[in-house]
Amino acid sequence: MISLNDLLQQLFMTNYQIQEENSVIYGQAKLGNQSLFLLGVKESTFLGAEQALIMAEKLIDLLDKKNKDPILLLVDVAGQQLTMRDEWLGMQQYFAHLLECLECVRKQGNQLISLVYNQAVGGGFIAYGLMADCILALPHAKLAVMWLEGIAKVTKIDLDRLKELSKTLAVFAPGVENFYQLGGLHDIVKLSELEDKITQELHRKDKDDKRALLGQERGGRQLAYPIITQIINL
Amino acid sequence: MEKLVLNFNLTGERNHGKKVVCGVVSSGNLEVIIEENQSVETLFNLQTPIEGYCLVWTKVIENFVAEYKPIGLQFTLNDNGATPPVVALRLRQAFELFQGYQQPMDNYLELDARQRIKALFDKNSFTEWLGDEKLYSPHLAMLDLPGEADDGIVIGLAHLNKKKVLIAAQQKDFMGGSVGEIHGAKLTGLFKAALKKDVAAVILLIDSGGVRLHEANAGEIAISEMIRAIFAVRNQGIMTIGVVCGKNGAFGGMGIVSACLDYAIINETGRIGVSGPEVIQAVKGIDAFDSQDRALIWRVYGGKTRYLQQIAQTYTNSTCTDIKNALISALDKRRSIELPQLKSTQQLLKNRLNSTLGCDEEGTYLQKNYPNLCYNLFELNQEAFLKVADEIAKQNGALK
Repeated sequence: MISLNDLLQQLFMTNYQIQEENSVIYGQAKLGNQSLFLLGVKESTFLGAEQALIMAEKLIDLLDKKNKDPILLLVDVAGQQLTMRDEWLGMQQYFAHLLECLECVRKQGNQLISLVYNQAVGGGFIAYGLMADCILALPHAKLAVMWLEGIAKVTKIDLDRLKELSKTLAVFAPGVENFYQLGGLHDIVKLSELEDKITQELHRKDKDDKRALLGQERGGRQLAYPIITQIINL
Repeated sequence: MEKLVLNFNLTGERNHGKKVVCGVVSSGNLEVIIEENQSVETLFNLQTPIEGYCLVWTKVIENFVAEYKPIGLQFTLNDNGATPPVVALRLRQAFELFQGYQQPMDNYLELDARQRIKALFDKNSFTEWLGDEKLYSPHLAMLDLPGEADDGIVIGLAHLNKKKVLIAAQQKDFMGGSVGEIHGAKLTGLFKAALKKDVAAVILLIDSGGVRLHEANAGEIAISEMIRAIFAVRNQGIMTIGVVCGKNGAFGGMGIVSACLDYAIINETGRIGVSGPEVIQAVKGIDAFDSQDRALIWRVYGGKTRYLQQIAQTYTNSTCTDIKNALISALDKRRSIELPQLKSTQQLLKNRLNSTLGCDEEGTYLQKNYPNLCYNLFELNQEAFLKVADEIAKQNGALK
């Protein structure tokens, strides 16, 4: 675990300022001469309808101001909010709205880089972290759709067997390396190398979604890319 | 997993026909695929997770062959614990289908993915994509679980009221319509193909519990890839529509996907959410959500609730005729991903959040705000419900 403040201080020294609203954090930072907009959540946040709406509001602000600064999306999502109220409100629509806002700023020209600084679990990762042009994680980050105990419960497969299988099967087992192999992360970056990595990414112009190809090249997801390509060429 | 191959050399005239798929690899059921064989031999390829029943299988298949005399055909049987009478029934149904017999079908809830497509789109207009390939999930096989040749999703091109559209239909009974690597890639591929084809819309018949946990990471990444492809399609001005009228609803990643489309059609049975009631109960306890309380589940996620909230834009009954009409009228209801539209959605969602403080399901919310209208609302039939919904919308004018 790294605290958000430690992360930001090590990355930006004193060149950043953030505010917090209901676990959502937002603000500005500078890397050299480059201004960045910061948006994300504080440590171990369960992402709900309200957080998604606040994040969407900040993006709409950027669109209103025609601010095209690259955006660093900070991810430490412990899961989606598990409450009846969030579900009744239609949390999926709040998430989708946030995703549409991200799409719109992408179209405006803002580059999107996300950083999993501690964890990304479940639907909360889909809601914004996975939407970036470049998705990064620190080496200690924990990534999972669901922890093995939960998977065992739902699939009715014995937990010990799942634990055994999880040593070799990247396709379902939690782990930052597994997501990397499947192309779900563009890179795993040490904190000391993060500044260089982000600076380098800021120069990249290519915004196409290449994750399926990455998954094939890295051997974790052999089928997705050929199938997608085959369908496109029908 | 046990495999069995049976060969029959029958004399007589060869059977001809288009490939058919009948049944679904759900528990106690099986999938039967019939296609022409290269030789006059009749071939049966079977795989089943239940071992030790080769003799029974052989007997059932021999009886079928003796009665129907299929010549020069190849049968693929993907079993998931079907009993001999079910196997006999499916073989007969599949063979009748192969010979051109069609049952009239109009209840969407009862139909599988291919039947739904057949019932909703113009007659004989559907071409299935990758229909000739058998794409079994290798990840399920690693866990000794049976696969289905379509991995639980049927995709292709069809006409809706003479307009060219792309469609995907999830198999509700195969792994709960869940999204694995192949399933997800077929969906992403379909949206990407829409960018190159001149189509009026991409239509998803959603019936899914979300990401398939047996291949969870691949499924989650696939959902994200799909969302980016959906936005690319919408940016190009192609309409996207979701139909959530099936028994699994749209949950998890597919719940989020349903909300990323331009338009949603729902019926009373349909439910949309991220986490289902069982998950909330398992983690937070029965006081947080009693997953056995069906009425409560529908007040939280159900079709009527989602229509009143404007999460779904059309509320329909469950006949294919009505769902088809709803699809046709939705074709020009685009929702752009541009600032003015985002601002109005922001307002809608903010109002919903702020005007419902203290409520956590539609019943108590309506009681508080529309005490004269909400009596019996969840028991009303479609026509009566839509009248009340209109009245609520009028009173709620400032928000709508």
